[in-house]
Amino acid sequence: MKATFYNLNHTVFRALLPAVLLFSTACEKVLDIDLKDADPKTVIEANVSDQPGPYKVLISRSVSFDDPNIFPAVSNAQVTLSDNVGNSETLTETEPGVYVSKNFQGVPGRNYFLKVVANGQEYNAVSTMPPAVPIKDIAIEKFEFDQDDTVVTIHFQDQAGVKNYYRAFYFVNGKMSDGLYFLDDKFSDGKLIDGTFIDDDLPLKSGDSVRIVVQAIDENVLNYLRGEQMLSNSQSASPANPTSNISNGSLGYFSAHAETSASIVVP
Amino acid sequence: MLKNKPLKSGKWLFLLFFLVSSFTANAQNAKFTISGYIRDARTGEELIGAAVSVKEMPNTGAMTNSYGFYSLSIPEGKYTLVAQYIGYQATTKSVTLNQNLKLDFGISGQERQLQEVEITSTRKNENVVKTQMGVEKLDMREINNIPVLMGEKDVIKTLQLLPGVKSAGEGNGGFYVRGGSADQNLILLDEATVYNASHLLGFFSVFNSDAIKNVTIYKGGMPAEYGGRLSSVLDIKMNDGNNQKFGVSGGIGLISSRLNIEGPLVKDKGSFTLSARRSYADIFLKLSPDSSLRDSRLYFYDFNAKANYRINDNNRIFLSGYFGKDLLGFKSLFGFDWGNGTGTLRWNHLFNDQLFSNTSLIYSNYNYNIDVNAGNSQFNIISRIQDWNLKQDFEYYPNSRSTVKFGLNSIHHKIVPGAISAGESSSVNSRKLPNRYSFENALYVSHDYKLTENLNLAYGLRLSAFSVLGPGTFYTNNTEGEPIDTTIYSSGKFIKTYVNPEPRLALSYILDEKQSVKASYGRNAQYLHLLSNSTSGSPTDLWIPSGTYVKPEIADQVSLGYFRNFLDNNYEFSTEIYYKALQNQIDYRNGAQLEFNENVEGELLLGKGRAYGVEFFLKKKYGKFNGWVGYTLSRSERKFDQINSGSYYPAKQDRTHDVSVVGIYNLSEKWTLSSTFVYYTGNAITFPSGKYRVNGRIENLYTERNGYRMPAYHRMDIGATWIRKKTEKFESSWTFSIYNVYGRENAYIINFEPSETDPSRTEAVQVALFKMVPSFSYNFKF
Repeated sequence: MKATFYNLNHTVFRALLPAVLLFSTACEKVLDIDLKDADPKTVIEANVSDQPGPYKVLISRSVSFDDPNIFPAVSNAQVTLSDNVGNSETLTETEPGVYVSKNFQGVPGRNYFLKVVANGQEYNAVSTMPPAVPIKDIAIEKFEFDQDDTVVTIHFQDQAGVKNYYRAFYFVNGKMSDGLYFLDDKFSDGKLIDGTFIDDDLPLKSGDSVRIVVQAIDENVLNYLRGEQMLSNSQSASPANPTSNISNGSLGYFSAHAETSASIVVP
Repeated sequence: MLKNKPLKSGKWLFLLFFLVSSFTANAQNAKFTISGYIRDARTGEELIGAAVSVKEMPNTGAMTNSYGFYSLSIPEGKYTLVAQYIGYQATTKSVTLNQNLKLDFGISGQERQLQEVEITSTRKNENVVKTQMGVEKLDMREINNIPVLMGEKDVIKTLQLLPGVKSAGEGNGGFYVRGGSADQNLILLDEATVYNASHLLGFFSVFNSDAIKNVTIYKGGMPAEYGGRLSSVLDIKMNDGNNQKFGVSGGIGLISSRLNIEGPLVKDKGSFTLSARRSYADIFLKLSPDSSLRDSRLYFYDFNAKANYRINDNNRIFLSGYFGKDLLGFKSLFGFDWGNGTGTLRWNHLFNDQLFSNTSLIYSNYNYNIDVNAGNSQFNIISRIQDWNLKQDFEYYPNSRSTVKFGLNSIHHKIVPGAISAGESSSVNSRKLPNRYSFENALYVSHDYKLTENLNLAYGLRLSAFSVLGPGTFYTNNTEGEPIDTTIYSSGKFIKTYVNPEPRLALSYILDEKQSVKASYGRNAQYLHLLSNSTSGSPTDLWIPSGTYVKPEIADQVSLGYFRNFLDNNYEFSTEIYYKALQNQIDYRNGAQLEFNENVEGELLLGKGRAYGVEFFLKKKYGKFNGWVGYTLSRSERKFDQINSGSYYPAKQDRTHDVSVVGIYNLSEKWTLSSTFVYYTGNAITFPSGKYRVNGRIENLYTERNGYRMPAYHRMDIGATWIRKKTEKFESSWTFSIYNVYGRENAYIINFEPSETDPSRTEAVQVALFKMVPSFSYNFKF
């Protein structure tokens, strides 16, 4: 179970892995596996927030596993954002596959609708923007599981009696951690929630500037993120594509969220 | 045969009639009963499955039951009786039979292991003449000689070298029998269910081979006294202890040390045995210069204890128990422990020379416990499954052609799926998933009957019933697994009851004393299911009972076999072909949340399956060189409407080819050499068929379940046992072994990830756990 932003399993295995490795003589080897080539699928990544725009919608396609990491942009799509009080805007493609809003403004409590028409296919999604959650404090601490490591911690208050879903982003000197940080309040309804951030690729040193963004998201987006996180568990007996809130078999997600942020400099 | 409908009740009446008529038909001549026990002369341990034959009446004999008791009814006369057991000297007794007779045998183990001796009996061809098929017995001495990982003798690892029984892989304590999943095996230790049979996350089994007397696995054609699982029954019996003299034995190995104490409570009347084992990797960890290693905890221990006392000739009681635990932790920040506890109280009672009874009261428990004490997250999680089980078994020996078994079994299951307790200041709330209560009952009757000299029939019926008991909240889910309704039941209420008649039938026809053909059919029902959505299983995997949505799993299996012995019974050959149809199998929805989920049933899919295959087994039982070769060609498939567009797909445990070779060579009085080789087709697995970018990450694209294969697995192990000293008073030996002697890198997992050398590409990286692992252990006995 998860009670804080860091993944408990990950932490535990980090702590115990050396002990397990002591017994085994684990060794790695690159394999050449003849994988099937799935038909390309459309990938949509769309966000609307309570912060001023522009908001971005990214549209690309999947490729074969053995291809280079170049994901073809889907151009000339018709992308429309709207809400349940009558606002609507068609986005402009500023570079291939990147669609940007101009005047559209997200407001917590409203429902948002995404409509994409690309290559003759129509994709639709709905997302509800929850109210923002203020970060109470941010600090730099020693990592309890390994005193040699430094972590960033935050606290925020969960609202009791309602289901809340959170997503966080972790930036070090403006560089974003590619870890997925998300949480629900299933185990901590109404509690003061702590978040701990550590990324082996972004070790902290004195003078580093750190920023944490916390988004209040809706349930479908959380389920999507959870599904995406499960993809990195190579022990899963039934890996599958995360359940998207976008229709018509599209990959990706549409998230309407309210966000707050906090910054600190590593002493 | 494979229709889902239960057989019409009229057919059962006919069978019952047949059962009764078979007793009366043989009750015409004056007959007397010889009964008694067959024991090891040195230790007084009763021998299970030992044979008594009558020299003057070929084809007449009896076998000892699980408690070493036999009963044989034959006409008045003078006879020579021979008691035999593999690895023991045959013992002969002459009797004049003119009244019922008690006759116990004490037979002596042979000095040299499994050496060929002159036996003028037909019983060396037991495998040919017995009716039961799909059964394998492990000889404990074979287990001691077969090399295993880290030199840790292991019942379950050795069992996996038999055809039809497949390893679930390295770092996985489970095993697969004839295409079934790991939770479809009933593992019994002195009749108590062991819910999690692995130590150290699956590298070792919980069974300390020092404490074990007998291991039998039924892969098909299960006798009616067993039920509750679809694929197999692994029936493990603990040693009773030496009732002649005190003894201490033990061993020191790389992973663990063992100590066993046994002796008489009252000479010839009662004995006890106590075995303990503890691993000590944590002690090595303490020596490490790396602080994170020093602060890690990782060890297991277990105890086996048993005592028995013979009150008089007709009454005997046994008390046995097991307790084991694994502990894993890091400083005071994190602790995780899990383990089984079992207890069995048994009473053997002889109503008369022909009616043997055993009454057992059995307790079984598995639980895990997680403690987290990091930052504001301070909480504890517990989960448990606990059984109370009452079993009553009767064995009736009306005449030398018949054995009748009947009885009942009543189990109360309590499952605590999970409870979190946390302090006020913790960032986590205390919370508890509701307990699940259920009641599993069965009645059974079976009759082994020798129709003619050559034709044996064993038939029976097990009538099982499973009731889901209140209190509880049950969800009704829509086809997407989302709850649309909830019903709350009060305490003690029978929410749902399932009843399944499980017919069992076995036939054998002895072509001649060297060969036979056998056939069997059986239906099995399973009411408890293990939810495990990882390739290797975890101590936190959850058992759930059948309920309003999850139905009992049902399997119908037919099998046909040919058994043939060669060269004066020195070589045994057998082949069995089987087909199994499975109903109400469980798989998971995409992205299933199995942890701490009140409505976990909403994450499950129900479907069906089929498994079929052919097994070949060639064994050389006697001589300086002995061992076996097993080969299985098989398929195991599942079908779910929501997976792979509703077509059949290979189950994870589908293995096309599976080969195992075991060789043991008794070089001299002092040295025994051994080697094993295994090869099997890789598991069916889901690999990506593409990739895409989202959230700045490259993610894999999946299109179908289990559409790929892991690479084939193969490995050779070698071992040697050196008996350093062997006298009446003291014995010591060294065991050396090398696991994976040619260093094959067998894939444990395969990761699909960005290339380390070229970030613009992705690659498949295989992780192998063990290359070559040498080990040694020292064993002593006095």
